Amino acid sequence: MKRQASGMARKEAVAGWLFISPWIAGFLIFAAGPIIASLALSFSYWDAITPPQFAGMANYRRLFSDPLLRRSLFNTVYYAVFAVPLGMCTALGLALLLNQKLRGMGIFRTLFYLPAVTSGVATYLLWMWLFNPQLGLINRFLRHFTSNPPLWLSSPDWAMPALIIMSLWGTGGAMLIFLAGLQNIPEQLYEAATIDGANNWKQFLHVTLPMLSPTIFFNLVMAVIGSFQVFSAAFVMTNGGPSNATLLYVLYLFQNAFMYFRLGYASAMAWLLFVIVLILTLFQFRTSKRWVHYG
Amino acid sequence: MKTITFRLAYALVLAAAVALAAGCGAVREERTPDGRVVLEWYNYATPEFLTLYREELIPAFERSHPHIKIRLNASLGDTGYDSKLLTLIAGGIAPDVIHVTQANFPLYAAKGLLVDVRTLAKDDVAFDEDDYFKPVLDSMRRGDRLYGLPSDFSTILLFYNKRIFDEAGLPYPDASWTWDTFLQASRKLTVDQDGDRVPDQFAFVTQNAYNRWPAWVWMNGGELFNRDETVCLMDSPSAIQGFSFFVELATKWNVAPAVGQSTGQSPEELFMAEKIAMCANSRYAYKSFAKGMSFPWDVAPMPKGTQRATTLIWGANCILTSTKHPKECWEFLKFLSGREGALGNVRMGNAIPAYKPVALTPGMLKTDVSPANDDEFLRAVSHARTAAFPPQFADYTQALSELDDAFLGVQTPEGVCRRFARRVNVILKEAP
Repeated sequence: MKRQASGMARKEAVAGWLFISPWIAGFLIFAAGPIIASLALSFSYWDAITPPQFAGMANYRRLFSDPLLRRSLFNTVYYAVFAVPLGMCTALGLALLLNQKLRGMGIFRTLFYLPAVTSGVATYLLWMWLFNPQLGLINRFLRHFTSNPPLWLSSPDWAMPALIIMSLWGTGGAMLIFLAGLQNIPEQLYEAATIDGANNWKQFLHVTLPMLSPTIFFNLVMAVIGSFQVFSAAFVMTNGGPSNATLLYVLYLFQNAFMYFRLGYASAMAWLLFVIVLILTLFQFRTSKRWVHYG
Repeated sequence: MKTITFRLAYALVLAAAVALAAGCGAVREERTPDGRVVLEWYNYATPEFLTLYREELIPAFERSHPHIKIRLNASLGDTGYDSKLLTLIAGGIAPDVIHVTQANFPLYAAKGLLVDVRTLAKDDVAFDEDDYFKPVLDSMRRGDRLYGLPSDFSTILLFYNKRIFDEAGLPYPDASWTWDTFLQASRKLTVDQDGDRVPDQFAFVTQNAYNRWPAWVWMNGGELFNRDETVCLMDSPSAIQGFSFFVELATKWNVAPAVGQSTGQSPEELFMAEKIAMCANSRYAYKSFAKGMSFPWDVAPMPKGTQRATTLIWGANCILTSTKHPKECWEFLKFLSGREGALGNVRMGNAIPAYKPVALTPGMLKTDVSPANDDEFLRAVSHARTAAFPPQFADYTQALSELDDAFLGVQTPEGVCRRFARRVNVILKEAP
């Protein structure tokens, strides 16, 4: 009897490995090798043309003396500090609205999710027109109130706010996850709260938020990681300019690797980013015990 | 907009190249089964050029060189071109001959990837350096080494819209124009019809690019570097003054669109839409003009400072040092830049061949869009050049990008010039 059970367990284990094998194969072939290689390369000078030369800690020392690296890190933190809370609040707000029982709700849900599935680069081109200081829709509107609207992507002060505003375009994914989280909250909790005399705001504060906290936690972790990896918007719309105002960390990493051919330095940058994101994520997990409730 | 569409293609191209290079044991065909040497030619081109290469130049070359076969490896656009080439080199399947322009040539020259073709030209009686326009050929020299052969080029001239000048009652630009004439006329040609303090018609537009602004330093008698390129001279009074004049056309006089006053259109588009009176442009713009111009226009020399100067833009071909067939590559280079390639370039209306015997044949260059003063492009060669690019490629590229602060008006041109010179002088002392 016992023997049979272990045979069953083994069968299940084999099936499990089989199911996950495409991912494992993909990871080993396309990710694991480059990850290990990049660690080795981060200790070398490599321009991809001549063979790598051992550099010791030189690339890592350079990280601490490179003013553009500091600038790109500052830009990325600036972006994250505004884009993450703004995106989270917007996504949650939209999810609450879309969780109402209304006729035609399916249409609204589709409409608000649609931006998240449209092609990134195409929407960046669209936003470049919206942000155009002379002809853009945004400034045409703002001219009703001021004769001197911001130059947006052409201004060192306004380019980053423009990218942050644009990041709201992609909140559909987080919104969908919030919506699923909201629908998992049992109806009877609200009924009980109503009987106890809690108004809508109290219900939101004491029922919705605690019950939704695992979902919020998940979205927060993903949003922070995502905000440190933002690349394509700055690559397409500003290429880091004007005056390095939108030189985000990953964009600068890319430039080092594929414009300046410092692949060793770019690898060291990648590992620094990994450490930063790891620390931020661990910090979130550590503090999550205080505010995340698993029902 | 064009560069952005190219960027779209970039990700795909890079991904494909990585996949290709990563393929285990990627090998390149070195010889055809019948024993011909295979040369891979890596370039980027518009569809018309691909047709020219594929249907005319390559077959003609293979007919006259039956022991060589050319394999064309064309990239979609210029964005991602260098990354793809880098990946090919890293993957051990480097091409033999590559196409470059004044923009990416400095990178390959600095990396020591290019064959000094003087070693190949030395014993070649069929080749004479004097057949090529000297300033263009000199753009490809580093020290006394020569890293390739130019195929086509253009000087930068002042394009002007005659109708706008007629309406303003101003004489057309000509060789008598100085910076002062240019600025005075520009102030009259800048028009703000709706009174929103953003001109609806600008007098002048150009790119804030490295293939444009150095001309204004030279016109003022300044230099970017000393003769042996060991000291940056951008902090000298003549260089600062020249650079400032160029920057202040937008930031002080507002006769050219300042950053943020642009509508996102290219200088060609603005010129064709009659939104500007003048632009500093190259003969490559003729390609956009071929669709038909609805107004009379012409070209004139750049306005004269204390002396005459202008910049060059050009296309060329180089041989990678990794090639196993340098002699065959040299034959191909000569073909692309010499008579056959030059005639092909002329047929495509592609600026001016770098090969003098063709370019200087009377009437040879005339196109359907050529204005009366078309010859000015050739006359300007005598005072045209390409700004030097130090071998410290990455650092110098970054230093150049910091000039943005002047164009944005967040720092004075003088402050930017001084900071640039300080920074570059540190860079020049470092190993490349």
